[in-house]
Amino acid sequence: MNQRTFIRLIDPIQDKMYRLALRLLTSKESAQDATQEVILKLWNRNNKLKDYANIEAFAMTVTKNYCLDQLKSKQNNNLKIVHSNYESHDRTSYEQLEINDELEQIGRILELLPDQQKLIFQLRDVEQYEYEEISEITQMNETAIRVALSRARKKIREELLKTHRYGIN
Amino acid sequence: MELTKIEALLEKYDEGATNLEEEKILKEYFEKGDVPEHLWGYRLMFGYTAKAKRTNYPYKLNVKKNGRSKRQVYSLIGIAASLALALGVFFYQDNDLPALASNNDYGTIEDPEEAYLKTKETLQMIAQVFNNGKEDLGYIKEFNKTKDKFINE
Repeated sequence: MNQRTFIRLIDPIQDKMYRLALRLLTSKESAQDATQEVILKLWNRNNKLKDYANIEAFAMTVTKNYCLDQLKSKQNNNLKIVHSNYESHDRTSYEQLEINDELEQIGRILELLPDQQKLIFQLRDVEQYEYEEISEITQMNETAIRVALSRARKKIREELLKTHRYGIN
Repeated sequence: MELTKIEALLEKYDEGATNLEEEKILKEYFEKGDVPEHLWGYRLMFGYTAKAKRTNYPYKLNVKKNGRSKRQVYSLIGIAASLALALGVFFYQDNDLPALASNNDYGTIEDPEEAYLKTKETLQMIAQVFNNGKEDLGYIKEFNKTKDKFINE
């Protein structure tokens, strides 16, 4: 596989890979590094790449594994990934009530979810993958995926409702 | 789409039972706006996922030129910097040496008579300094006094 073919294959996937890395790692810098590492990994084994029936699912799987490994090693080192993607959260202004900020709130709620739920919510609700594809990427069966997804969706709205009430009082 | 149908779909959605097509219907419904107050949480969720999907990887894909990861680049910069430092120190000294060597003025005296006198003067000075040192050795006599007490008895 030459460079041009490789780029043509990866180009439509790289944004999805980056978004998945961003969801799992939270920090933009780590997500960018991770995406670059994974693309390099794929490039290094580009001879075998065409043997995979679904390159997109494979690329997503490698991204997922890489990010989870990153998280594990960070945890072992007792380090928390530091990120500063958010603007200040001052509750002083009315801007808090604006849609954009409310959307960011969901991002913050998503951070609280277990990694597996983050992963599945990202793949289904953001990227709109079929359950079959999600199963291929996560190596989980469909029932387990639906359960995790249902939990994530309910949890998000539950938390939203909580913060909304605090906001009013 | 009537509200009851949407609400039924949302219930399925919460259970993780909707298919992609049904989820697309919901997405479109919430994009249009005009959503009743009690579905506020759903509107935010669908709004968020739509926005999240617009996040793009900020780099252009280029395996050849950007083939190195940031970390590798940092370590390369480190190596380059230490090399530059080492070479810098090396050449700095090297440049300094010829400057010293070219300074050949050691104050050489050409006239033999004067040279003789100067040498004598210098040697005398050295002898004097030696004697100064010797005077300080007077303390050693004290040791001998004590020693003689024991050994001569």
